[in-house]
Amino acid sequence: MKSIFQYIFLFLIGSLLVSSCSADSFSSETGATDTGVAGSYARFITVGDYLYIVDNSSIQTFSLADASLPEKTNTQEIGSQIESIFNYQDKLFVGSGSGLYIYTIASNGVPSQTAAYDYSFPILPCDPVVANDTYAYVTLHDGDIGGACGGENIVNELKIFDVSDITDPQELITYPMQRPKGLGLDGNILFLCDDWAGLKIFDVSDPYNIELINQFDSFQAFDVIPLNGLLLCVATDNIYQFDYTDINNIHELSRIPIQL
Amino acid sequence: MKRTIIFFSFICLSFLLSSCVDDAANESVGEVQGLKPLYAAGDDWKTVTVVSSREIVQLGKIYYKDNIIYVNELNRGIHIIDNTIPTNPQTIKFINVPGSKDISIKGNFLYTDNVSDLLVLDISDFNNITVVNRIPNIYPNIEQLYPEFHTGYFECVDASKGTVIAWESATLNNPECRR
Repeated sequence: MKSIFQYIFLFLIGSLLVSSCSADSFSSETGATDTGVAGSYARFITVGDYLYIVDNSSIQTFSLADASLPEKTNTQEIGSQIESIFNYQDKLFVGSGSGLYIYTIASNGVPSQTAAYDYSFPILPCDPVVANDTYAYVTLHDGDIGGACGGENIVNELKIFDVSDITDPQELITYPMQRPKGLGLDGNILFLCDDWAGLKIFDVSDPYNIELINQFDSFQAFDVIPLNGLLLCVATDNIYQFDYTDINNIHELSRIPIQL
Repeated sequence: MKRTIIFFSFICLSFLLSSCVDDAANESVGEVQGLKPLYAAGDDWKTVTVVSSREIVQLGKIYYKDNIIYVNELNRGIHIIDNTIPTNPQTIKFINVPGSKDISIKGNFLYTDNVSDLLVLDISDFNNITVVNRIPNIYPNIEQLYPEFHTGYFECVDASKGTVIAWESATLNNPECRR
């Protein structure tokens, strides 16, 4: 009899411990990990015990076996005008002005290139990339005033690639945009910062027929981080936060002002 | 004859060399918009300090972990914003890191760039953020020569003035460098 009470008691304690772990509804999308979530313009990314850094032309691997002392284990040349790096599972997607590069990460952390898709543009636009198992989404935009990125070429578009075979990415379709910059993906929802056109939210279930669900065009959007219902959107005047737990009722939660 | 060849070689070489040099000097362009380097003298660029907060002026990249938003202030450092209550985010710290553009985190360690070096900061206690390691020269020193991703005029770098920690928009008077 005593042991039954003991079991019940232990069960109750256990339940309390488990429930306290579930935290609030906006906790990190990947649960209890020790790395965070980067925006799409990141050139640093931590994956497991490794830190990947892209610079203008190369990708470097640092071992974080001792997280306080990164140790460089590999350097590879990629190309030119490297803009961003994105991680999905054991893959790395590198966006550059010249093309889209895909890598798989070996067990020792070293990336090996599986594909290099050349855009063949005469002048280099800017371009972050996000991806999942099947698709990669790339934005290309023309040069900034004063030339932060790539000159006067008029290329402003969203490209969707089929990356189910990472050795042979297929360009599926291109959508014209105002001047697209950062982007973020949560399931079939694509958040796209379209500069003066603001934040656009698309249902991308069908890549050939993406559907604009909502658009907030009162600000100049630059980059986003979707966090399982909470969206951080960096704009030139504020960091906006939106609740998108109900995709049909996306609403602003707050804004952090930027001095202009 | 030999002298003619040498002379021709010299002429050809001059052409080759001149085509490599950033032109602009040959004609005066007057006042134009461009970028100018911001310098830190000596080893000042290695100095990392933490202040309670500063206004967000020129936003860079953004990173999120455990209800905290980390926002890069382009080439100047990192804002730390407590976002436990997303309807009421609170700015709590600013880390001055000259030349910083990127952020990533593993556990209690934040990685960022300090000009050409990789810095590791212990962020386990926001009231006691410390630099625990510095890995020198992880980046090629492009920005010490010209502003990366920039097309247009810029003020030529004068290395005697120190280390370039940022490039700022400016009205330039007859700049001699452009890309």
